[in-house]
Amino acid sequence: MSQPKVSFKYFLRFKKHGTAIWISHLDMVRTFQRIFMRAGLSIVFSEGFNPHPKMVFAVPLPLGASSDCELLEFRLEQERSPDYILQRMRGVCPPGIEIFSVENAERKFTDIRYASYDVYFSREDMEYLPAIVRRFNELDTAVVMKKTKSGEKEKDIKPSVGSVELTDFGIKAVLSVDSENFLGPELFMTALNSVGAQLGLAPVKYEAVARRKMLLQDMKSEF
Amino acid sequence: MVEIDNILPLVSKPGRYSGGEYNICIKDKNAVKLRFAFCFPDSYEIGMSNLGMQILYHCLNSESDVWCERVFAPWTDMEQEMRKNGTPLFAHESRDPVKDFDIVGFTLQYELCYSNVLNMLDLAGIPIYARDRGEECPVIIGGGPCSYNPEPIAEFFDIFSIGEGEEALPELSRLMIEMKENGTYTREAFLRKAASLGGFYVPSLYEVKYNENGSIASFEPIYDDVPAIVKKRVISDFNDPKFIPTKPYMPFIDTVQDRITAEISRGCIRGCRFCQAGHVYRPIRERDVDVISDAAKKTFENTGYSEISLSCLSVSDYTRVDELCDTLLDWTNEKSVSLSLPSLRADSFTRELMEKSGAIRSSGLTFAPEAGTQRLRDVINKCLTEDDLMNAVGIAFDAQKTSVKLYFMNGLPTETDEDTVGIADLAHKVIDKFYATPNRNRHRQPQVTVSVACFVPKPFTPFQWEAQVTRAELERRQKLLRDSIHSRKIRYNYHSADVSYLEAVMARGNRTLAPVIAEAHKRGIKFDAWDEYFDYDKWMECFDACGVSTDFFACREIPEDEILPWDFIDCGVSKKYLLKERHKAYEGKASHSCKDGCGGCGADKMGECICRNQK
Ligand code: SF4
Repeated sequence: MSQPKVSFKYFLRFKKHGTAIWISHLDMVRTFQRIFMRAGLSIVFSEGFNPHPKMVFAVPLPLGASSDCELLEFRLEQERSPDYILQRMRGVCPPGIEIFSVENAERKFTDIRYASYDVYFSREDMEYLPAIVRRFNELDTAVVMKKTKSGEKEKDIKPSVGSVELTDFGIKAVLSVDSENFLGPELFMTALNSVGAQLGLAPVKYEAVARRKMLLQDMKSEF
Repeated sequence: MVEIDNILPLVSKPGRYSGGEYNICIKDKNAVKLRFAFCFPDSYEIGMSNLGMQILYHCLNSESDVWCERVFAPWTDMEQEMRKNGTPLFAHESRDPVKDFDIVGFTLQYELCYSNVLNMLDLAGIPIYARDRGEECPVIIGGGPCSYNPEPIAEFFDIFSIGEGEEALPELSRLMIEMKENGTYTREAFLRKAASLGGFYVPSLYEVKYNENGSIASFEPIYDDVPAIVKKRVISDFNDPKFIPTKPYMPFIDTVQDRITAEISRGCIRGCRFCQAGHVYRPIRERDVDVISDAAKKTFENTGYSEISLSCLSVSDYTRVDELCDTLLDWTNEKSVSLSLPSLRADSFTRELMEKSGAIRSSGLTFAPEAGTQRLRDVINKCLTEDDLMNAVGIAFDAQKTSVKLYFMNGLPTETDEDTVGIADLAHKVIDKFYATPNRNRHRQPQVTVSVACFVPKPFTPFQWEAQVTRAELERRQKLLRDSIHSRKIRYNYHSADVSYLEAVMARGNRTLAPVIAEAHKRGIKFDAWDEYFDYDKWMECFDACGVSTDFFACREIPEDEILPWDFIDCGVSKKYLLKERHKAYEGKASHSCKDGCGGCGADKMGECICRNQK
């Protein structure tokens, strides 16, 4: 048996926008693996027959969504100052992946309970939004069909919604990212649209979605 | 710039179209003088894995006033959305319409991409026939392996670049810039000048006349200053680092060849008689160990790839293969970069090479005996004996490997049933060899995969005159082989005879195929290289509709004195040599490799060949 290696754990925070929003989760792992390589930083790999880099992204982001607040936890074989890591990595990222801070990982991603999203709509759809949002906020439950491994299941997503607010571009929504109650912007939209349907409205479709903040239990403090 | 953000959410793998890959080349379009759209007429994944495209992208973008961008065939779901939205074919770097470019180049890697070429032109809003293009249209140029017989698609292209494009394409670009700057540019004037640059074929400047039986009666330039023979281009110095891309673009999505590809040689010393690559890429050149290693190291630093794969037709034929591996391993080990050598030959296979090559990590190995009996291997000049193969698999089994993949061909000239059954015999012997290896892996069963392609006669090979056997006969032989395999440890798969037949038609076709390909496009044929899209019956309907015989091109033995559609190309290897090799094949005689002495193929007149270092 080989000795368990000593390793050093860090977080990095990055923005994902522009063409990079089309990089899927799986491809992000490979993309970062190569960023680390180019930066000359040795990340720790899992042991075993098919070693993979020990990297964890905080909360899944849907393909096509941008974000200001992505988080990645990783381990290095050598101890490096966060500043050094940031400097090494900055120049070797693809366009649209913008690393803005690196820190020693002292907290846990499980502290993140909510994420705040800005959801953008076309002018036409904006007209229907006030009615839909008002009705949605009045309801006690919002049941949608959720795909699971064994087919579809009814689920009340209302407990997963922190808040929904109307803005001049569309909606600001705070949604749960707890593993139990995870609610992504897509399913949230399905729920909104079924409320819209009850009001006799055609479904609305967002044009863009951006994750703005990762939030703690109080829905105010940022991680 | 076209708008695609609204359709990307609707298609599978939007990363195919989004652009923004690391190491792509972005220039200011107002600061460059020529825009080059480099098109790969197949999916993004296949195109991004192509080394030739990577090299030419690099060479064109090394010119400060040229901006070369990538274009791929949009997958069918994307095409549907694009057509619905009126979105034209666009280049990935700038998302500008391909129609707005100065030169649009297609790399033609296999015959089955022709329908995609037309579909891409159509999607770009460019007339598919060269004769219908006006002054405002980009100049459409083709290159790559299929340009060694460009005739079936000649009427769709303005120019073909014959041979290596590293210097030729920048030259052509400079000619266009110059003519546009000094006001002499018209489409016609440009094509005329391009024809005399050397290595460029302008189909519209040649007239073809046919005999009553459909064969070519004459093939001549229509102007005196247009060369009757187009000589392929070969780069001036294979060791010049300026031709080696060290900042390759890197896809985000998973593709076939997502690693460092280090090209170590061009051409092949063997001269297998069915192999086009082995002939048209001559003269044989080997890149210096240091040049290869330095470029690979730079590429590593610029990419962060963790694997290097050596590219050439046969790695173990590289003269200093051990030195090369050691030089690479010197720094790759330390950086945890792995090395992989594809295409190891069974007759130069050693334990040492296997260990260095990364093959040691995989559970299986691949060899290509190509034919089932020694007689037929002599005919095709595959100088590999049964002993070589047994020796090689013995080494592999001794090193605990359990699976071996063997490549063969069916329908080779002079092939008999004995040869076909010989494939099964050889596979059984490999299984026997496993059990006769004392130090074999005792935990797992052996597995031999027999993979059989169909022979397709290709231009510029000693077998270019041969008839392809009929589809029915090919299928009979495929079945005979299946019935001859008695072990469940042997897995057998084979290529479709239908696909190979169409390949043969296209490979040896002439200009009379143009209306058929245009018809195929009109009927929605595309992505022929994909099983799920290839539709043999639909293709045959197109041939029927145009009154063109397929057997004439595929199944006819061409008389040696007949004018071949590709005779106007000088690829280095002489027709005399090909004929000599053909006759030797019928005598059942193999030829020695170029390492044992120059066979006089003629390619050395194109530039430095390995035979010059043989003193
Ligand atoms: S010129 Fe001679 S050594 Fe060179 S490829 Fe031809 S036969 Fe081989």
